[in-house]
Amino acid sequence: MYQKISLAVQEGEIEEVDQLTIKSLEKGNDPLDVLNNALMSGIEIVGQKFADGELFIPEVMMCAQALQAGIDRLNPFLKQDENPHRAKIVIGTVANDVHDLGKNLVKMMLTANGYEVIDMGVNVSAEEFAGAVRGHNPDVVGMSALITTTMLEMSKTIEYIKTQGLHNGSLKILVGGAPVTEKFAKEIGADLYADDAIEAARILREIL
Amino acid sequence: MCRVLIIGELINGSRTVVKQAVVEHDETVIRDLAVQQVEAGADYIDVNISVGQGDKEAEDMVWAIKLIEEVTTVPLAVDSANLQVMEAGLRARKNTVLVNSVSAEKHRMEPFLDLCAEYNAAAAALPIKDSGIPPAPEERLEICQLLAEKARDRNIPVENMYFDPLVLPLGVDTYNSYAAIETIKKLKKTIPGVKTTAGISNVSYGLPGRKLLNQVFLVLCMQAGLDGAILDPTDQGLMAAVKTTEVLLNKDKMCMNYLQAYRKGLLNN
Ligand code: B12
Repeated sequence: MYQKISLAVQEGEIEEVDQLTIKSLEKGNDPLDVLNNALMSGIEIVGQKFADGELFIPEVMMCAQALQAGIDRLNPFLKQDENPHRAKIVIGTVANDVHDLGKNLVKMMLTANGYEVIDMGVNVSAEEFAGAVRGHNPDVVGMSALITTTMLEMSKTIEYIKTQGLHNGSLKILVGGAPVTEKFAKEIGADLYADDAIEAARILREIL
Repeated sequence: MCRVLIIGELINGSRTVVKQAVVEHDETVIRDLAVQQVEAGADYIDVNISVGQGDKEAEDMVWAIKLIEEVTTVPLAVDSANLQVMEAGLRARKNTVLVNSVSAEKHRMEPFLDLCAEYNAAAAALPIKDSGIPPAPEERLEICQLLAEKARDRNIPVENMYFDPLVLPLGVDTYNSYAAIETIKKLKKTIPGVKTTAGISNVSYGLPGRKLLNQVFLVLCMQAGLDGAILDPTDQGLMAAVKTTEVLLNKDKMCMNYLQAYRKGLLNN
């Protein structure tokens, strides 16, 4: 049964994942067990195949949707402290920048790895980032910048989040985008940097 | 019927070779890329030197333009998001010029259009506003109409405005290529005399078989009324697609360019 669900996730069969998840619950399987050993194990293989160049973006998007269908089914049966998601991430492209292909790929990979991702869109101001951190209380806030001039917005945003007292113990700040380097990330006081979407998922898995 | 204007995209700071050449001021690389593109049929040479050197960018732009103008009189597309860099480029060049690019973002629209008017430059105009890129062709058209109006206010001739429908990757959403093609059609229908241009290779990002996707997409855009294309002119297959489509759309009287391309061996790919 778990193997079937995992395969359906890998094939991006939304309807099938949904139906199989229902069946699995009817059979009396533990929802948390279904989550970890069926849905998640399926999506992990998807992530690996994307990293290996075996699967392409649209396929991964289908698989992520299939995963979501399963999670939506399980959600009502999970106990409060059994959040179906590994962690919560707020993500957005910084002010004056509308490039979002990279950010969306990161979102896709994180979703496909079982994280809950709240997408703030593009041209997100420091105040909006801070507001989202306050409102959603995420584990990680992720920022994307694609233009050398908007990399400075990234620095401003981090500064602002810190002066608002939101960068306390548990919140991690993650940055990325083509012109952003690990060195730059350190200089502006980010906690984490990832070169691409796959790396982002790997790094978060290490710390969360 | 005019041929499609080819804007050669190879001098771009996001390519590793160019980045290195800009940082090390390697003149040969820049000159060679200009010559190669002109020989391959480029009508414009795009000049983008943004490699993250901040305050040096204006200087680098002038440096690159001087080198390119040593080897060709082909028009230039000065490519920068930075107003100072753009102005430095416009001031330095002798060749005919196009500003790449203006958009409807508040901090960019008026100052960039002012520059176009001041330097009598053509412009590539993008339907981007502060909230981002609207997906729907109707909304993109609306932004273009606003830009056209602002251009008219400055006496910039409409045929100097090259509107870019914005080409986003097909792999992310199959609506993206359709939206670009529809936007071209709507632009040609709605704004009399307007020109259009598009960055072709974006469409195939993240998918296998990129060359064929680029070629077929270009053909569909040309059929929709594309006047200019930003692409790699040394990509022989893509250039063959351009020439073949031109002759099929009656843009190449007596098949002259097509036959010339055949004799040069440029059609067998
Ligand atoms: C596609 C594109 C566009 C599209 C954007 C469409 C969209 N919806 O995003 C359009 C046509 C709209 C566009 C517009 C503009 N663009 Co543009 N664009 C590009 C281009 C060609 C590709 C960027 C891209 O999407 N790459 C693919 C994605 C998947 O890669 P990525 O973004 O790097 O993301 C990966 C990693 O960086 C990382 N990552 C990204 N974000 C994050 C976030 C986190 C948290 C993490 C961990 C990781 C991470 O993971 C991603 C996936 O692996 C680049 C050139 C290039 N080759 O980079 C120029 C480029 C970024 N653009 C540029 C410019 C200047 C502009 C414009 C100002 C127009 C102009 N030329 O005048 C406008 C911008 C308007 C604005 N205010 O933002 C310049 C920036 C130059 C500079 N000074 O830095 C570039 C470098 C081109 C150039 N050489 O001039 N652009």
